[in-house]
Amino acid sequence: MGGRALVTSVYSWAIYADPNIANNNYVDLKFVADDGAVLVRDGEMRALLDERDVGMPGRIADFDQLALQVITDVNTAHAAGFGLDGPPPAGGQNFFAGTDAGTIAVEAAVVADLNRIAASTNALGAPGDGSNAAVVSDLQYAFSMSGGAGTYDQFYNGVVTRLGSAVREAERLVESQGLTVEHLELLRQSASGVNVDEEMVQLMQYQRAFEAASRLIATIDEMLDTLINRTV
Amino acid sequence: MRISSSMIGARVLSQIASSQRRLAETQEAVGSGLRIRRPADDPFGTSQLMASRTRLDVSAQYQRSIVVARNELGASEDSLVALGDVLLRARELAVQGANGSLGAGDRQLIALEVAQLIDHSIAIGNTRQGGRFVFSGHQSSTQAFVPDFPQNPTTVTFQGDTGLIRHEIEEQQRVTTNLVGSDIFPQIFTTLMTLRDNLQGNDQPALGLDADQVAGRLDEVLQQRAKLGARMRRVELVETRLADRELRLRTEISGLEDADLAESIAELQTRETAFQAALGAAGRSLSLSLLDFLR
Repeated sequence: MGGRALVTSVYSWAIYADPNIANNNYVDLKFVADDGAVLVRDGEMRALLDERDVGMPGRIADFDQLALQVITDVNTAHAAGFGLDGPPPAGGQNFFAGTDAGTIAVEAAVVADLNRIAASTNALGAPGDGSNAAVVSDLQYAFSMSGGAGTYDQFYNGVVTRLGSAVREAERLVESQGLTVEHLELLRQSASGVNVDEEMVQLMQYQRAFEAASRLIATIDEMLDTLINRTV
Repeated sequence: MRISSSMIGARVLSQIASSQRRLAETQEAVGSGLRIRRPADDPFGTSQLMASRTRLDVSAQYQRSIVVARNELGASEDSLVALGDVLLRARELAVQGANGSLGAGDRQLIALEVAQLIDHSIAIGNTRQGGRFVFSGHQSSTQAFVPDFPQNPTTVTFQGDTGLIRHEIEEQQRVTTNLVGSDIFPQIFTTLMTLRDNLQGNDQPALGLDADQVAGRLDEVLQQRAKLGARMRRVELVETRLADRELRLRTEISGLEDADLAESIAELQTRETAFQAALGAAGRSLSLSLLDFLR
């Protein structure tokens, strides 16, 4: 595998799974003998490793980027407003806690006390004022993703579409690779495979040849019999 | 090419499998009625579909906001209608009081009715809609108007603010649904209290002027009602537009997402036939062997 033998005659080289801290503790494959990495160049294994190390992390990063942007933007807008609970903490009340898609959550202080939701821009507290909530609501139209080129929605849309295209491409590749494999298998079988009819015909040929040979022996035997026993 | 016996088997199996897969795909489309079931079915279509779905969701939210906006505008309008009735009656009473043939006692009686009207107009100023004081501006949980003496007020304090309640009814389009209480009521209270005091004071010449004052207030109320009416019409226009948009979006989504049933069923039949043919061919070719013909 990867230019190194796993088994030769009666010897074998063991491999083991080594958790990689730099890669979410996902395992690297190594040879026990010298800690050399097992090079997986192709096949199903390579595809699975690529998906684990490149594909999924890329998509997770997309979601994290979206979540972080939403958290940052909403918090900035929310912290500038006022709730009904008197003065907000220094720097304003954040609405979201967390830094990525895995940790995003509404701030515990807000969950515990809904009056901390800063819907108003009035520092004295105004139950009927939703003007800061309107500022937060307008974030959905802001071009805050992709370097100012798209809205949250467009960004997410792009992520899903890219995933869909990748799946589709993979399906097509599987199909065309499958046809190639099938064709090669056909060629191999054509050279090395067994055709029962062909073998049957040959079997009959050999059987006939055997029959012919034994007939010859019988005839010679008969001739010798005539010669030896009947010659008086 | 030599054809080995195991090749025939492998080939037949792969053909049957691919035929079966295509049949299952079409069956799924017919069964679910959907053309796009996962993003990979049509990545570009999915993108359009998601955009349309978002617009539909947003549109539904605006429609809910519009219901709230209509209720609030309706509450303000009902209050102003009631206030108009109060002022109409007050003007009648003022004109009646200005009549020279009336005595001081008669005017006292009229003053009693005006006092009732003052009471009523304060109650109107404190109208609630869904637990919120309509005329308190942003201080919607605070009573808007508080008289100093409930029985015989001399001043009425406004406890609200001039905040405007706004609802988003379309993309970044907001409509104001409240009227500022301090723009309308204090002048009316003052006018009605003056009328009451002049009736009690039997000040006949002043009462003629009071009637004009009340008429002036009535005009102001009508102007405010016109303002509300204009907003209501705007809300209704947007509502119609949103309903049209919803229909358009639903059509769009259906066009993107729904399977063409006639087409899918026809395809299902074709693929079913193809599958049967594959099975039939396999049955015939696999059973053929020279062995059958050797005795």
